[in-house]
Amino acid sequence: MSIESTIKNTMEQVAEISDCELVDNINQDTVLLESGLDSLGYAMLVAQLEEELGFDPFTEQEIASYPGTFSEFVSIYQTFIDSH
Amino acid sequence: MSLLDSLQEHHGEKVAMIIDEPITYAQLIEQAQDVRHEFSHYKRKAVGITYTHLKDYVAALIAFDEFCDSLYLLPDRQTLPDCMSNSSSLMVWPEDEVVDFEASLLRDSSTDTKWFIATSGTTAEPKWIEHKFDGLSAHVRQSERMRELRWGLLYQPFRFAGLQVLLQALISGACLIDCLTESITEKVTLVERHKVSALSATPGLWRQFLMESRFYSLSLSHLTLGGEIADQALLNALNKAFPEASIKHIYASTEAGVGFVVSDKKAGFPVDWLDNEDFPAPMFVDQQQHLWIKSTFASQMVCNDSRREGYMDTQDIVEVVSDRVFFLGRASGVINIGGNKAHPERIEQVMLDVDGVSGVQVYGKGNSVLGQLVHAKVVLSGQHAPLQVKKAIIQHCKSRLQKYEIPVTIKFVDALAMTSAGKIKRESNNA
Repeated sequence: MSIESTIKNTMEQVAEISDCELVDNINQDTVLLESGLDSLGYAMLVAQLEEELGFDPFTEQEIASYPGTFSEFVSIYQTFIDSH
Repeated sequence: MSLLDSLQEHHGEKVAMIIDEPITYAQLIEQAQDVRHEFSHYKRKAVGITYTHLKDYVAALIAFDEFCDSLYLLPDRQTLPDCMSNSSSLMVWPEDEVVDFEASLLRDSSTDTKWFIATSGTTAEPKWIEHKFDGLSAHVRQSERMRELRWGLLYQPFRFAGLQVLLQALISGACLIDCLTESITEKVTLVERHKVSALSATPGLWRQFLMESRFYSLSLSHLTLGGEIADQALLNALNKAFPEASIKHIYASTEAGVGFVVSDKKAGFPVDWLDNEDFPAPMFVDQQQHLWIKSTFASQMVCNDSRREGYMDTQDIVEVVSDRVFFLGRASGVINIGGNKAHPERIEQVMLDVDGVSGVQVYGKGNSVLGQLVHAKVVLSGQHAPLQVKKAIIQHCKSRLQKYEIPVTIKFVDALAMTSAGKIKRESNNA
């Protein structure tokens, strides 16, 4: 499974646990703060991904920039995978 | 000096607050005087004030400080103090209702109003912590530059963090802007629209601001972090976004008041602040790595320990690394989720209700977004299927707990680590 689909699947799981409703058709340009996940949901997403992937790119490196959109979020994970 | 006195020093025509529309210092003082007149029977009484609207709330604070005997900042109508200082009934404003108490705790009467603030936490009974106005306002910075600031209020003013921002803004003669809204994007919109220049927020909230593209074009000159551990990555990111701004992290709690402020944009604090009696808030670290702090303004109830007079155990675990002291987490195992506190024991009790669960350990684990999140280990009983039990746990937790208290991961284990006394081991896991 690509990192992008892993993230999308995890977002759905988290939305269910945290009673958030995701917007339809999350795409590259979807703004994370408008994706339907609240701050807790977003924190849970990062924690769940750490369970699945074994790393949290936001603690393992100095964050160059915080992700604004879904594609930026995916690319932070992809960059981490590529560089390890 | 009372809150009213300090506000009367400012120019009456200067804008004190913006809540939909501007309110001048003169208007605010006039409203406070009206409230004091209308509720003149509150003089020397114990008064509880409930939050309805920011302007009315601030006017009531001004009206009742140094007017009533004690002032309880009620988080809601249900959270009432169970013992009162000097009085057996509480006048609840604005309804003008009288609540009687059986228990009364007699104390010396004085003209200074005693302010009582409830500790936060929905799972544990809130504690009412006594403060004096002098203590609450001790860290207010006053200068020409501070007077020009426009403070955005992001936290409810009956909480310690919100009250600090409110007092800083009004006592220094600055302008306070109501930014009390749930959504991050709306918060940024308000900050942008009203040209807010100073903000105080938890690290968790700052990280969310950093995800909003419009945040980077705001004109912030004063950034304050508090309520959770401020890490270096976040301080760096904020410094990168606002290189010219003052960025400070504050160590404070409802119990201890404001302890100290770190302004060198580095995580933790300098080691030479420890064991230094000349430091405004003297501190030391004990054998168990607990940070103790001497706070002259903190409640007498928590400060009185015969062995270490004037010091209180903050329950914060610290570690000294070369010339710096870093915070690791809470000794009690209390989990801090972006400023919301969760008590593991209570979550464990709820989870143990679920069929198929024979043992639970709830613990906090470091999270790069909200500081910490709740995690759990579960021991299954009998032949129950893990997946079904997991679903049942989440369902049950949803109906009984706050969202932030629901474990983000549930791991099934054969046994839990116990202490020699047979209790579940609590360790701070913030790494």
